[in-house]
Amino acid sequence: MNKFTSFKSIMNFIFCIDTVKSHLCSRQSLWLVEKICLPQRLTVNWERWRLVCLIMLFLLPDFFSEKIAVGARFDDYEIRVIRPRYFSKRKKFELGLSGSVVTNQTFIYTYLGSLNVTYHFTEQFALELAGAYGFSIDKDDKRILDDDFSIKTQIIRTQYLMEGSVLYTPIYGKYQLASGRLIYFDTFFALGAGISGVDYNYEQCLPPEDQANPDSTDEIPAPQVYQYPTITFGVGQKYFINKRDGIKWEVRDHYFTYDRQDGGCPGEPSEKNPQHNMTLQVGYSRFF
Amino acid sequence: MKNFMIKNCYIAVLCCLIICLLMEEARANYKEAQTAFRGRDYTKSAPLFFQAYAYPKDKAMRIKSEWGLAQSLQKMGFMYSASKFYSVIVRRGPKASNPYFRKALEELGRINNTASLGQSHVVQLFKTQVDPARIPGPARGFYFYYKGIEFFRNKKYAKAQDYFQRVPPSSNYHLKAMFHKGVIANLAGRHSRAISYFERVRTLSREGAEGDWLREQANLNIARVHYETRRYREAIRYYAEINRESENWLDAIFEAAWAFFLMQNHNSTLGNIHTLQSPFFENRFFPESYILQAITFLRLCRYDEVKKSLVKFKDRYRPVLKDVKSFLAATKNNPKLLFQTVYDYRAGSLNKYRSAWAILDALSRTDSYLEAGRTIRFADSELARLSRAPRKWRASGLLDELETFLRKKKIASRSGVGKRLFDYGKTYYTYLNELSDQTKLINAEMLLGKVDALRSKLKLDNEGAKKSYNFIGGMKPLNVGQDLEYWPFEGEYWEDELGGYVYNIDDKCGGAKKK
Repeated sequence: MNKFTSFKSIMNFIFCIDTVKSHLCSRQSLWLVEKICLPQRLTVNWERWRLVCLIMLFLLPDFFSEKIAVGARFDDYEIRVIRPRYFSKRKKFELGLSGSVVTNQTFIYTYLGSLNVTYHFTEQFALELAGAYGFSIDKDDKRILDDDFSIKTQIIRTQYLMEGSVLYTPIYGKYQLASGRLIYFDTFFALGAGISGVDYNYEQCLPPEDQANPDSTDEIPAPQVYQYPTITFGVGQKYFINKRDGIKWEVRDHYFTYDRQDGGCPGEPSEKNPQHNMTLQVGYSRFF
Repeated sequence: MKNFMIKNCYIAVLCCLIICLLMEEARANYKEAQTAFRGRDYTKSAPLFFQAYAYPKDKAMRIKSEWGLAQSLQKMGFMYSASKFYSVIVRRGPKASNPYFRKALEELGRINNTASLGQSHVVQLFKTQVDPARIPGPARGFYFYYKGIEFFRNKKYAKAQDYFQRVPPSSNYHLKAMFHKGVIANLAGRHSRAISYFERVRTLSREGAEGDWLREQANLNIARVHYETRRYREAIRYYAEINRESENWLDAIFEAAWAFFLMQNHNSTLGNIHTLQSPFFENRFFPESYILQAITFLRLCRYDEVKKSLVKFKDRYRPVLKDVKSFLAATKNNPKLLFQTVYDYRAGSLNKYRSAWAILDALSRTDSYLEAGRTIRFADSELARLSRAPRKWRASGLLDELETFLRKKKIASRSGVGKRLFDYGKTYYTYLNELSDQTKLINAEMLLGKVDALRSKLKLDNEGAKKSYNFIGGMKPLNVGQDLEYWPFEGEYWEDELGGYVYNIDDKCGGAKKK
């Protein structure tokens, strides 16, 4: 009734797993978490089970979808609301613009601007093509290391990303604001693949005259961009401000392996290393 | 004797002189008023016309001044004040000595379009017998529509139909007349014709407040005609057209609940009732929803729920009966007090009759109350503007005349509506008593195990049940390929969910379970 802010979601479990006692989690969400992700018989170590639950979500979408469809119709409830969906995405294109930041880099800030085109086959499934291009700024930590300790680091500077992803949207919900206005939202998961473009500028390398071996003739390589096959997965939400427009946020992990030699100075040994770029993305979408 | 005669002569001469002076002044005033009117200085022309009207040189000048005064007031936006003088002209009827009859009628029609004069005012206006042929073209719609209304209110439908028929298609009153023709056709049992009239109203209504109102009334009436002719699915389709923000939305929900019941779509019936009984509508008057709920549960052989519904009815409406009784007793001979009580309820300043608020709410939503509210608002706004009028208006007597008229109009409006509201209140009281008796009957028959007898009294649509019409929540039909969203109800009402509830319970009457 006169709620300051109300929240109602169907299977908002991802959100609630991390904030199970949060006031934002409605009873419905908790019910679902308990029934699907956290069965009563699991008395201990539910951390592990929720992980299993999440893995199932990704690996068994059909099975899970069925469970969701059954659960989401609330057949066990004596009274329910059934109505045409407020916002239907089925067979619609979505064009989005967003800005993102790589959040897990120690020595630099990386900002990317991205454009994505998504086609929604159903309410649950969509295919997204996205491209992002950006730049990096050094953090103070990097300068201090160099100035005070003469330590030069090899930096993975992500210049662009090109990815295709499958989006799965098992959750929809709504907020009611104090004004009475309703805002609908979707929670989605993304799994995809693509290419990450990493810009190496070899600034950590010393010119031949400064090297320990004065006879060395190894020149500093010219700056270049390497491309790495990338796997990406993420989670996000879209808030529908009207029947055509939405605002979204998304957290993604872009995972690839790179060879240290690619961005290393001459003589650097070859060594395969994993790289996770965690991006936080905020943007605007329009549906056509 | 001689002295007495001389004295009388003096008095007569003095009187003649005074009259001559006044006549001269009236002539001077009239000329000056005309000049000011031509120069569009209506603030100046109005009191001058009034003086010439109050102390005329002759009858012709009085008539001309009266017209000039009404025109000046209208030009300044004093619609009600102008209507006073136009109405006097119209009430004199179309005579050679009343040359402004036609024009005054046209102007009143125009004023009524912008500031509603009130149905009773207009009906009073046309009490005078007039040859319809003498009604000017632009005023024909106005005249014939209200003449039709007069007969319609007196239940003389053939006469009313005749007048509505004469409203020209170009008139602003054409669609309203057509709407009434639909009602008359339905009352005569010509349902298809009624629907066709209402459909035309629906289609031809323009955008805007009046058009929206007409469209909504047409929808509601089409739904009712279908309901009456047992075409429940079609009825629900039209009930669903009523906008959520509309005053009639809850009526549509309630009537659709009955339609669902008669179609034996009991989960939808209960869903609609769930909306009506939500705390959002605590003060809305739908006592019958409890009865319908009880008999729906009875139909599903859910006897515990039947008892609960009847108890809820009793708990909610027994105090109402008591309060309404005392409210009606207190206002029986005081319609102004009744109006004031309803007004205070609407304004949120009423602290009495707490249990009767549902009925006060219903009274405050009647057309009569709303119309009176508009009249009072317009009158108050003119009174406020008049209080800022130039001093000359007071000196001439015009201001007193207009203020008295507007105050009387307000008082008449309050009293007239108060009387009608009292009648409505009595009807609600009787209705509530009847429903209370019905709860006793349902209880008794249930206790006696005469459920089948009770059911047989209800004309349920067995054919409808066999056809198994599918509706989603509320009044929305299920369409192929439609994307749906589901929300559970767990005791918390959400405003956006109102009107979309549907129950999900079984028939417990034995045999195969069905929902």
